[in-house]
Amino acid sequence: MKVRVKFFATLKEVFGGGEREVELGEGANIKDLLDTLCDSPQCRQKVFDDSGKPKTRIQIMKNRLPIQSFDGINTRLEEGDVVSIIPPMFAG
Amino acid sequence: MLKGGYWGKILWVDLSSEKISEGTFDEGFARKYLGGVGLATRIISETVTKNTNPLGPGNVLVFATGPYQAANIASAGRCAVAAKSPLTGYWGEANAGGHIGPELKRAGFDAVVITGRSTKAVYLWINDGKAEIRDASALWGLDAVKATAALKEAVGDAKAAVSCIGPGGENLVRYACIANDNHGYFGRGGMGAVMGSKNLKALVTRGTLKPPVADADKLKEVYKAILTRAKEAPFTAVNAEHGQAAAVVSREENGLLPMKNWAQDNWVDGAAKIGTPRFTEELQIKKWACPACIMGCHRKITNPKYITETGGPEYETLGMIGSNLLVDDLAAVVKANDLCNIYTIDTIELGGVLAWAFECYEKGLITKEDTDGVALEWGSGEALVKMTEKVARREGIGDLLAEGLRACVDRIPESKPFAVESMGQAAGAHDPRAFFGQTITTIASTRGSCHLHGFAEAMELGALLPEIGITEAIDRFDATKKGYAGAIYQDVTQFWNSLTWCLFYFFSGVSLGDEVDILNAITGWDVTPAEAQKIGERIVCMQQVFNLNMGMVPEKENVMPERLTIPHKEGGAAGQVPPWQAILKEYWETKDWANGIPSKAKLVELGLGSLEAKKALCVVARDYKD
Ligand code: SF4
Repeated sequence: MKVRVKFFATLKEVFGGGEREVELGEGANIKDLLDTLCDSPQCRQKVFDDSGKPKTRIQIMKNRLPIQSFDGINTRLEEGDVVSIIPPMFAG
Repeated sequence: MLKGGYWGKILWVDLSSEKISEGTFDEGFARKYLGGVGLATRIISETVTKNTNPLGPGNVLVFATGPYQAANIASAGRCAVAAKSPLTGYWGEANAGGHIGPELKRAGFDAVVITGRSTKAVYLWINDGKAEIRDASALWGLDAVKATAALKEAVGDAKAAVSCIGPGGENLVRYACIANDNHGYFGRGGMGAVMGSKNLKALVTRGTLKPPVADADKLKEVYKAILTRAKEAPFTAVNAEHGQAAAVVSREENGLLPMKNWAQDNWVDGAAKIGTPRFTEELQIKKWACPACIMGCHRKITNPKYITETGGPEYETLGMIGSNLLVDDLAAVVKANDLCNIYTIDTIELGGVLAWAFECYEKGLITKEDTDGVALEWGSGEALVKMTEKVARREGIGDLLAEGLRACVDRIPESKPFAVESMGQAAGAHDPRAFFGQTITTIASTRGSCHLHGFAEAMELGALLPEIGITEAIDRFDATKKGYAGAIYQDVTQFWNSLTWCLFYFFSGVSLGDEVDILNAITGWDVTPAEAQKIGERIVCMQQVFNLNMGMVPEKENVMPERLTIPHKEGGAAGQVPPWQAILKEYWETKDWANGIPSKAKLVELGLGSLEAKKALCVVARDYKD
C-alpha cells in the first residue's frame, strides 16, 4: 500500500523535500513507516532516541489527527493515508 | 562588594516633583533579586498597593537591566519593564529587545524607577551618569516612528536608544506597549499606558561608560565555547533564516495555532498564505537583529509593495491578528501590525479583543450601529485595520475595546464564554489543548495569561533542564508532571528574565548551566543551577504575593478560559483538553502555595519572611484611589 508523508520545517531538509510517497506492506503502522523513512543514520538520529523509540518531541499526525488519538506509534496505516511529521518548533 | 555586572545604582525620577536622585544596592540585594524583572518586583512590591491606580501617579514604572547587559554578549540587547498593570490590576511586566538595556547600563545605571506624574508631556534623557527631564510637548501626538526620529535629533545622537509611546499609550489604551527603536516592543500588560498616564513620552538613553565585569578572561573563554555551540544548533539557523513566521504552518497542523477565536479546528489554506514560505518570499524578508544577536529573528520587509515603517509581524502577531481572526490577507496583517507598532499597541491583546468583538458581531451582540458601519466579519482585513485605528484613537467602539476583555465582558455579559483570557489578559497564540505544558503559562502566570512565563511546552519539545532534574520530554497530551514542569519552567524563565536575556537562546542549545557560567564570570559569584532556580522561584513568589495584595483570589483567577475547555473536533489536537484543575493543583503543590497562597514556610525559605505580614486578605475589588 502507498501512504503520503508530509515533512515540516527542518525535516524537509533531512528527508529531501516536503512530501513523499512511501510503499509499505499491508498492516504497517507508524513505527514501520518511520523505520522505512529513516534509511540513513542522519535521519534516524533526527527521529529516534537512543533507545530506538521515536522521539516524544516529534509530533505525528495521521490524516491531520494526532496519532495519540489512535494507537500512538502502533497506529495502523491504510492505503492513501497522509502522515504529517513535525519536528520541535520554537517561536514565541 | 559588587565585582561585576552591576553599578549598584538605581536612578529614581519623580515626575511630580521633578526630583531626580540616585539609590544604591549591594551585592546581597543583587544576588537575591538579580536584575530585570526580579529587581523590578522587589521595588514595586514595596510601594504599590491595592489602592494604587495603575494609571495614576502612584504607580511605579521600572525599567531594569540585568547583569548580562554589562557584557557585550549575544542576546544581551534586552531589557525589562514592570509596573502594576492597567489591564489586569495585577503584576505587569514586559521584556523586549532593543538598545535600551545595554545603553542604560553603559549610562551608569542598572535601573530607572519612575514615580509620580508630570503636569506636561516630558521625556527623560539619560546620558553617562546624568539624567534630565525635558519638555516633550511638541512630540505628544506623534507616532513612535516619528517620535523616535525627533528624539534622536533632539539629543543630537543617532545612537541614543529611544523607548517611547505613540497615540495608543497617550490615549491610555490599557494594553498599549512601548516601542524600542522601532524594533523591539515591551508588549504585554499595558506598560505604554502607564507611561502615557505619567505624561512620559519617552526614555532616551545613551551611555559610553564601561560596566564592570568580574573576570573578563573567564567570560571570554566560557562565552566562546557556548557561542560556538549555539551557532551550530539547528534552531539558530532556522530562526535566522525563517524567523518565527516559520511556525505558522506547522502549528496549524499540530493544533497550537489559534483560529477563529480559538474555536476552529483547521485553516490550511489561510496558514499557507500568512506563514512561511509565502511570508518570506512575498514580503522579501531580510533578517533584523537585536544588538549583538547571532540569530536576528526579527523581520524587515523590503518589498516596496508593502510599505511599513517598522519590522514585519512575528509568530504571535500572525497568530493573534491573523489566524485568530481568520485574516489570510497578508497585506492587512502587515498593515495592522505596523499600525500597532507605530501607535504602540500590543498585537497579542488586540488580537484577543478583536476576536471577541468579531464573535460578538457574528452572534448579533455587536452590530454595524456599534461599529460605525464596519462589518466585523471573520477574515476581514479591512475590519482589522479599521479597528486597530479605532482602538488606538479610542474612537467609537474602540473606546470600549481599548479597555480590554474584562471591560468588554462587563458590557456584554453573555460574551463571557468566548472571552479567552486569564486574570484579564488575553491568552497568547499557544493553545494549551495542543501542548498541555502550556496550561500553567496560560492560566497561572503572575502577569496574567501569557505564552512565555514558564513555557513548559519547551519541555514537551525537548528543551530540558537536566541540571535541575528535568531530563526527559513528556508527550504533549500526557498530563503527567505538567504542573510540576509548569512551576519549574516558570522559575527558570523568571531567572532568565532577570539576567536579562533572550529565551530563544535556550532553544539554541544554551543550557541553564551555560547561563549560570556566564553569570558567574560577569559577577564573580558561584551561583549553581539550583540557586538560579531558587532566584526565579523567589521572584515568582514575590509576584504572587503582589497579586494577592492587589486582591487576587487565585481560585477565581487561575481558571482555564471556557473556550479552551472545549476540545477541537478535528485537527492536530483533536479530542484533547488538558485536565487543568489537576495540573494547577500539582503546580500549587510544587510551589508550596495552598490554593495559590504561598505558605509562611515557603516565604521564609525564600528569604521573603517580611512579606508574610503583607499577604493577601483576598478581597476582590478595583477600588482605586489616588
Ligand atoms: S533571537 Fe530574536 S528576539 Fe532574541 S535577541 Fe536575537 S533577534 Fe532579539
